[in-house]
Amino acid sequence: MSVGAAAGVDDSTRLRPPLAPTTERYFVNAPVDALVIGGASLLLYAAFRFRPALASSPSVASIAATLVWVCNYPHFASTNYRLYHSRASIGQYPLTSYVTPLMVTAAVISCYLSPNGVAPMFVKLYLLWSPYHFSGQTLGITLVYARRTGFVIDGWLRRCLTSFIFLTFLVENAWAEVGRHVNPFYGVQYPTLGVPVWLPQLLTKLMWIALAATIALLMWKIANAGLRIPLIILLPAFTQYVWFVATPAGQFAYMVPFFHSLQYLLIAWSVQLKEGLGEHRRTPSVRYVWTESSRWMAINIAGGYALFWMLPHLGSHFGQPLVFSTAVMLAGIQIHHFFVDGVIWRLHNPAARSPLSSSLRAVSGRL
Amino acid sequence: MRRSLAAVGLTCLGLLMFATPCSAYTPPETDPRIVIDTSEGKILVALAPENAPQHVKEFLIALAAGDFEGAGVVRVAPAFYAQVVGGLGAARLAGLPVERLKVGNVRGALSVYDSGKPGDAPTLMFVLVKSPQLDTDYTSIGFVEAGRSVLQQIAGTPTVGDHQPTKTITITGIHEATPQERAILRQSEAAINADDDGTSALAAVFIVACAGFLAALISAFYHRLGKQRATSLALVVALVAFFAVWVAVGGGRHASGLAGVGLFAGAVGMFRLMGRFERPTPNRSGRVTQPGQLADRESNAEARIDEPQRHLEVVLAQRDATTGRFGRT
Repeated sequence: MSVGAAAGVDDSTRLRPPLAPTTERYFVNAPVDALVIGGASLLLYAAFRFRPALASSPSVASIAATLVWVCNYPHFASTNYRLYHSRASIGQYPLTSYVTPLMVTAAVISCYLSPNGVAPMFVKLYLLWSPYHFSGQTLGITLVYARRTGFVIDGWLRRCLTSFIFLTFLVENAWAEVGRHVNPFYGVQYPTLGVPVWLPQLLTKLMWIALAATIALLMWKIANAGLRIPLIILLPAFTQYVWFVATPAGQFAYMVPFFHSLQYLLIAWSVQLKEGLGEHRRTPSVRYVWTESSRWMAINIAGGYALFWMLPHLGSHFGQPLVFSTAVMLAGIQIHHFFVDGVIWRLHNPAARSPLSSSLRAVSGRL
Repeated sequence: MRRSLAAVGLTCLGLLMFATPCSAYTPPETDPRIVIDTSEGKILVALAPENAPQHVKEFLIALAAGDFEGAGVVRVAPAFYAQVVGGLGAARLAGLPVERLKVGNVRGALSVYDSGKPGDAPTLMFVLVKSPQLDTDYTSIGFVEAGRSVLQQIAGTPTVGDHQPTKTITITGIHEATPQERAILRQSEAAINADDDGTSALAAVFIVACAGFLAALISAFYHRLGKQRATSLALVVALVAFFAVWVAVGGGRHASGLAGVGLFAGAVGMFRLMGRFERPTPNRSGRVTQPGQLADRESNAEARIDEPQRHLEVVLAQRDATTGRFGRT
């Protein structure tokens, strides 16, 4: 059975019997997948909550700063690699490949020309878009595991779950926008939007309503269709709630981008292994997994270095200090990433959907 | 089409000309900078010896002697001026002729007024709006670089009588700015008064002009682009235009709370719209995509896309066949 055909679920609104799982449930296995898509961050959050001394340790920030080189930055590079690594890929997305870099470059140049007017708003756009992007990934991972486990999330259940996920983002950001003040981001200070306090209060209520509705629909589904809900489906949404809305736990917020990147790398890695088989006409084997993983990760680390070290340093030669250049380049790179990510991982697109059914066992020849 | 492009080009050019900023004068970086410590906060002023050499020279001598301490703000008018009187330093500025070699009393000027009357010490005045009527009597010796919000706060103090502030506002000291002070004060100014430097409005109009130009290109080449690409590019235009609005209003710094809600909702709506950006184009031949052909090509794409999966299945089946295991179904 073609995985692409199986995954081609029509997300209409009716409650339907469960789909047969398209392939294996997990990319690697249950513990690894659970840890990577949220479990590890929840464990760290719990540790920080119950050991405040650990949470306030100065080493946390330094660990987070170290991890960006092996996880955060490669995650951005892997997106670019996926888009730009072949002519076929570029040909599929010509606007994303050519127009968005030009647009982002123009925006970065504008920031240099107007460091007080454009740069703060460009940075602000990125900082607001980033958690929205996190929410999109959370929803995407949930749907990927739903497909893999054959659990249909559609109709009102999908709407409510989507609402809950995105409302966690809205609540967090609306609170951050209350009042008028400025926040620093490297060499750029950006203003808040000054929204009234009733906005986050209202959004918080809506978030709880969405959560209650999601739980009610899940219970209804269990009762009516006799389904068991794979817990891995609920993990990403719960994790995002902890990231954005739960009580702050020391410096946990520093680690959230790392965990987001970790989620991404797991899936991008699995997809790369599967696609690499076809592209290079390789046979599934453990050796293939090691060689392809090493090659892919090396490219991504180098790409991350180029994007996040070389570009800011290059930018600092154009009349602005390195801190300013870093802020603007980071914003530009990440906004480009949001565009690319939104395009290449769209689940409606069979090109993205099909390889998301891969598993380590399959590509290592142990299936 | 050429006419359309020309019209759009002229429109963009017009917008750019219209957007020419009319910002306050900025002295060269080599000019001295001073920090005026007030009870309300710090103000960074760039002195302008090229505009008023004698006044600036005397002012710097008085400054070195520490003669300005004890001065106070005696008269204020919101969005107009804040007048400082007192301190021994002002006495050195008495009797000097009015100087205006480059610029007059523009927005943000720090000017000296000498009535010439015996017993009246010259006063310092922060000019908050462009006031050419003052040019005959007031000499601009410097221009505020940072601390406009402090200045507006001072000028907005409730008054009694002849614009006398109800609150005591003192100048606790004036000293030459260190490079660190310059950087810090400028940075905070950049965040607080980003649009006041005139570049925000210019940038916003420029961005709108770019969006308009892009929209015109899409319109001109709509049939060659095809509906899907044109739609994606239209989304880009929408994002760029929205960003221009954001830049123009400075993220809501000068807008009401409801406007802030609008900006917030607009941003989220934009992010959501961007989720519709570009669907895959299966056409690899370089031929122009015609409307109506995409459906077939998508189905072709589906077939091609599953190629790696089919390859994997074939390999696994071959291996299973050789090892005697059951093939997958």
